[in-house]
Amino acid sequence: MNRFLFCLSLMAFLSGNLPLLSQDSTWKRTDSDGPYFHSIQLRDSSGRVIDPSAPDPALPDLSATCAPCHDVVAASGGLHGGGGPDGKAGEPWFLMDARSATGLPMHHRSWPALFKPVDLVTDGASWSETFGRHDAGGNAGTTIAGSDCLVCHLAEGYDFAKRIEHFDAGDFSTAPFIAAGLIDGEGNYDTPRFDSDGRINLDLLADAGPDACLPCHTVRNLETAENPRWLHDEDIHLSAGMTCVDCHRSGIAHHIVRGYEGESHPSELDVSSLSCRGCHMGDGGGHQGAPKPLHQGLPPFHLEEIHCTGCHSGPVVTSSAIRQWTSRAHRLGEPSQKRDSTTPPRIIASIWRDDSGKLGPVRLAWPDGWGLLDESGVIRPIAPDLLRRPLRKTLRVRANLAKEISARLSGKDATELIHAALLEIDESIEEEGVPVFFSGGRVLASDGAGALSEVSSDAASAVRWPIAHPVRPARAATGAGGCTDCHSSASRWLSTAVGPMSILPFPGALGASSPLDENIVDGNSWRSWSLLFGGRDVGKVYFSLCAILAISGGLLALWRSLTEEHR
Amino acid sequence: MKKWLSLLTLLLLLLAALTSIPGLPPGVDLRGRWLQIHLIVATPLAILIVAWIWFHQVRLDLVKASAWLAISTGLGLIVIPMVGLTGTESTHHWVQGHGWLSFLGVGLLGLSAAMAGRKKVTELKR
Repeated sequence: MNRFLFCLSLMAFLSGNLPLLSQDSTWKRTDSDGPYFHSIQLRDSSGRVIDPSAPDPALPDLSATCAPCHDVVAASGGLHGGGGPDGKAGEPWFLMDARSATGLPMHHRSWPALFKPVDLVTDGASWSETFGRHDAGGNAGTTIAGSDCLVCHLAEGYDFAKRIEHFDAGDFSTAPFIAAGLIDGEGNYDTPRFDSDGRINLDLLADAGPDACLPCHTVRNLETAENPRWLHDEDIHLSAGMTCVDCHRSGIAHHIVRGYEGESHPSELDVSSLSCRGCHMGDGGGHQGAPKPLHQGLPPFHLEEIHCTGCHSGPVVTSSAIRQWTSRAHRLGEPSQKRDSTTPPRIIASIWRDDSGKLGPVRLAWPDGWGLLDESGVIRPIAPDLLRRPLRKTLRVRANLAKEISARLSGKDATELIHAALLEIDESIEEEGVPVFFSGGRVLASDGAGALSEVSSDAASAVRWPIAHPVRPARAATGAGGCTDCHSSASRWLSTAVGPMSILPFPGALGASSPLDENIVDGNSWRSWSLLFGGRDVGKVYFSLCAILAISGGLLALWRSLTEEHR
Repeated sequence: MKKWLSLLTLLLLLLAALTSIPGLPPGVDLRGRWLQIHLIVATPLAILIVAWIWFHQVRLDLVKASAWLAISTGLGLIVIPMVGLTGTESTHHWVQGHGWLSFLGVGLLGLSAAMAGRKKVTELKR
């Protein structure tokens, strides 16, 4: 009996400690805060060590190369790899195809106003070919490229432009090694970099600095003559010497903290101190000496109704609704002479009130493309590949539908051409549904009599996702110039109308509205405050004088009444 | 001081008190339309308070003097955050201090009026 109990307790002890034991036995760790010096051997897909000096060596495999020391399965997932909860809306992928005038925001996450990849990108290979250039891997199984550890963790020597080039060419498995300069495009190893054991020294770091993140996460305000690129400021945190992962932290599971207020982290750990408010306005002062803002003179409800980013990021008051480029949407990182102010997708920064009821800056974009309207009123987009033949046949488009048609029409409306294209799509595509064209926030279908009729649908409505970076410091924040930064007629923060632009000319006006028009902010209230704030400085002097006179008079009256009673 | 000015002051005081009610419970600061109306009422009221205190001919009793001092101090408390001398988090306290002191002042004024009324009745009875 005793023996049985002993065995039972031993089993219970071991099972309780199994995760710890297995972790210790599987993955080596230095447990030092200092970086580990990576002098590593490359491995092929079957895990065999590659001798780069051997004749005809095998091609390397990143997963197999990292797997002896790291849990690559866990590292390929997480929020960064497309796993975990959907959370607050983030940046979508944009499926761009100039030949069919397609620009569709899409994501596998259930964020609003997005198309589903499953309707458009047929398999992992086409996903990787379309988006792999800016997708570090994983992405909830939508890619076949596997995770590229090097793009994020190799501190120096990663040629992102080469990565784009080789992903576009379909070299998904070798692109990371080519970009890192370990092999060339032919698969030949850079043998002088390897020692006699076939080891290579790579500057791999858990935090490889902002340069590792920026190739995929750059956001740039569109350059204008008044606002040239060299005058753009970078995020204040980066200027102060911080790195992205100081806030956007994660463990090996790569559930990278997104950093918004109220974030529920998959680890179930409290990550509230990694949000703006958590870090700067936590109890007892800012986290690790982060400046704790006083917001002197700012009525407290502003902090309840506006996200920190409302003033510290996004459009500045004088130039609301700025147009922006993002890495993933505009292929930033790729050397190109063709990227200009008209390069789609058109992404605008504006102000929006989110589900929590708080105002904050957002990016918004409207979809362009073709789809099929089913009986239930749902529009399924048509993949660009399926549009090639019908559009070429009716519109004779070679490379860029919008540009070529606009040039051909020279100002006339495109109704007739699009009507013809819709009829051709109806004939050539076997799927059920009424063909529609959507652009400029409108959905258009053939009315059966040679014209286009508008279809009521939200398929063409804007997609929005919040702006968090670059963060502006207090001195450059909205409101640094006083209340009239917002509360005046000169402020364009809330009053600039933002609307979609049709990719082709059609009759009928496009709806453009400002945050005030859309009642995101109560327009009447805002205008009346603007009126009141015109005399704010005079008011301050007036009330201060009244207060001084009233208090001194009050004290005098009290003294008199006391002395009177005393008598 | 003319009677109609006294009445106007009292009316504005009551209006200011009424328009501040949407700022209750404590922790919810007055905002929006009600704050605008409160400010519009407060603008003439501030100068009337000064006039009342300085140009009132009759010597004030202790309760009434305390009432006007509370109202005046309340006015002073709201000026501090208004001129930007406080941080947002502490502004709550200044705003609340303004509110409670003003309410106290109005309450004391009421008490003073009640006491004066009782005194008058007693004198009439005599």
